[in-house]
Amino acid sequence: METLAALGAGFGAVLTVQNLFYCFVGVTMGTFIGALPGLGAMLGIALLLPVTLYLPAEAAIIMLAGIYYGGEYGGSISAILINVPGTPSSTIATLDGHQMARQGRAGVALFVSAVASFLGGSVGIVLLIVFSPLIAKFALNFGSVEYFAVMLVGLLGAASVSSGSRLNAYVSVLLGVLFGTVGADVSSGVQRFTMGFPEFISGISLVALAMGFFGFAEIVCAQTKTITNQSDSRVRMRDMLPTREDWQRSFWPFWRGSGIGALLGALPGTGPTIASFMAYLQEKRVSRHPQEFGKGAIEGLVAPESANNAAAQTAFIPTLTLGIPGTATMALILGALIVQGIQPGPRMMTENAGLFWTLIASFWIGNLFLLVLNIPLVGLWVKLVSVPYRFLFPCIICLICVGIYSIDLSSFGVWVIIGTGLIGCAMRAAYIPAAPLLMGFILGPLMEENLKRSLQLARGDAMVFLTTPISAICMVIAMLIVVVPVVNLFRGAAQKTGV
Amino acid sequence: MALGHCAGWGRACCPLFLGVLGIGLGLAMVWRGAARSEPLGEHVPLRRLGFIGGAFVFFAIAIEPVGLIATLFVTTCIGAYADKDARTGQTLLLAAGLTAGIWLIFIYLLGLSIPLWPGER
Repeated sequence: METLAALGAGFGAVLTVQNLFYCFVGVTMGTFIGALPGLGAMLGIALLLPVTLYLPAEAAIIMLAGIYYGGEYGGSISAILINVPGTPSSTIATLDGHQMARQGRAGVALFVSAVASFLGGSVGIVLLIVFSPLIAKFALNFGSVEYFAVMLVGLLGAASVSSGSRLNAYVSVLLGVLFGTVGADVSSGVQRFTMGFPEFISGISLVALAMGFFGFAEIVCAQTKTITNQSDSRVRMRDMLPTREDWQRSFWPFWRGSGIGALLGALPGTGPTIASFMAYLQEKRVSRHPQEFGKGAIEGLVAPESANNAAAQTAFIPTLTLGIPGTATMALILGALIVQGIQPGPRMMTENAGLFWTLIASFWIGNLFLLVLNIPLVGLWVKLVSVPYRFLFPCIICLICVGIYSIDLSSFGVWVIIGTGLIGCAMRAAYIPAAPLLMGFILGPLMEENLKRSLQLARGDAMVFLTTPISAICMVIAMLIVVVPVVNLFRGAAQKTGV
Repeated sequence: MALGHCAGWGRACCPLFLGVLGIGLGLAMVWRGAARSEPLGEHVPLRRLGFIGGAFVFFAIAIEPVGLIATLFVTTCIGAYADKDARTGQTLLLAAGLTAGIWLIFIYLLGLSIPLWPGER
């Protein structure tokens, strides 16, 4: 009852002209940037971060979150129409979604994808409402020992499930933590790695770092493909309505997809992308006609689409209630909250309860906007996404430059972006993902503080991490995350050589 | 004292530990690279890197002496040529539009005091 009253107040707070406007701007920008192949929600959030510094915390976070889940909608548009996923989490939608489009059912595919996204997102929001207060209450007793342990699992988990080599992901995390050590040491005030630049005393700016890795490096290395064949992109309203059979076949895949998505979204490391893959595989396994998958089966579109949107919403559970982001995008949103002077965590539910419930109410309003944006207006997005990159590049460059310059009116930030951007390009070239770096950058300093404090309170006894129950469980999980793949690797190598 | 002791970590402890970990991971990468013959890495499009990097560098150098309007105009023009299909007429039009748009958002709506013309600072 208490929760419902709080949620009601949240809806009341979000239904102001200002908040609705920023929510709308966020989801619109999210859809647009999500639909552009090669550019993701990370870039959108990084671009708008400087602008949000001038907004009240509430409006700022509503807008940034809108970009995030809006991107999940937009990504599937280009996946279905041009067979190129707009965001990594819509990769799987290219399989059956694009096949449907090639069979002349593009309209149906887009409609079903938007509805599945909306309903999946709604399931995620309901779970967010139910579980957040419970988890926050549970986590109120967390001390620095527990925090360190949970963050360690989150960081290792996020690195180990990212695509590509695990080792490269760990290197990326480590680089991030190292970047995080730049600046004045919290307890002694002594400068570390500032190289004499007074600008670095408060640490490398999160905005500049995010813009370097996800702005500069992203646009240099983006896979650019635009809609060239205009006949692909013509979608009429009356072609969009699914048949009765489509509805029936979508019902259970939707529930299974949302369930998998909601669960994986809330776990550390596994975000919308993995959720959509798992949902697809699961659907293919339980289906009575698995041979249709990959040839335009509607189940193969509904399940991953509902999964990635459910995951996008439940990803907020650990971020808001524990202050521990599960994915890099969440880490950036966490960073934005901290910049606004709000420390996410169990106390946020009591100290900033109003903001918390307003934000959750805004999610549902935002999803409603997205449903409207994606069904009647889908033709507009198709046109917008065909904007050539020679127009987009300069826009992004100028927005980044002016954005970072506007923060402290000095070009130092631009140089930081150039530096981190070049590192980002080099990392791309060596297949080192940048997302774990951001996680490390945000969690690293928090972990150092909590580790230091734990050891101080335990008078230097490191065993405290194994004698505290929650921490002990986390330590075991962390060990397994690191050790199991290494063991498997050696086992595989041994089998190959015939030993 | 920079390293400290177990109950009171010094400021250098964390970076030192990370450095050692980094050496370990680095050696593991070298070992793996030597053991396997996989492609060295992804190709970074140098044309784009040049023009996009150039645009950023120009902005950083020019913004203070030249002011926002002229800097944005030129930055746009440099950035547009990152795509080899860029055409002069379109680019100039885009530069004008973009400069006006950013002026509208950042100067007119958000009220920032960025110098607009040469010699204002």
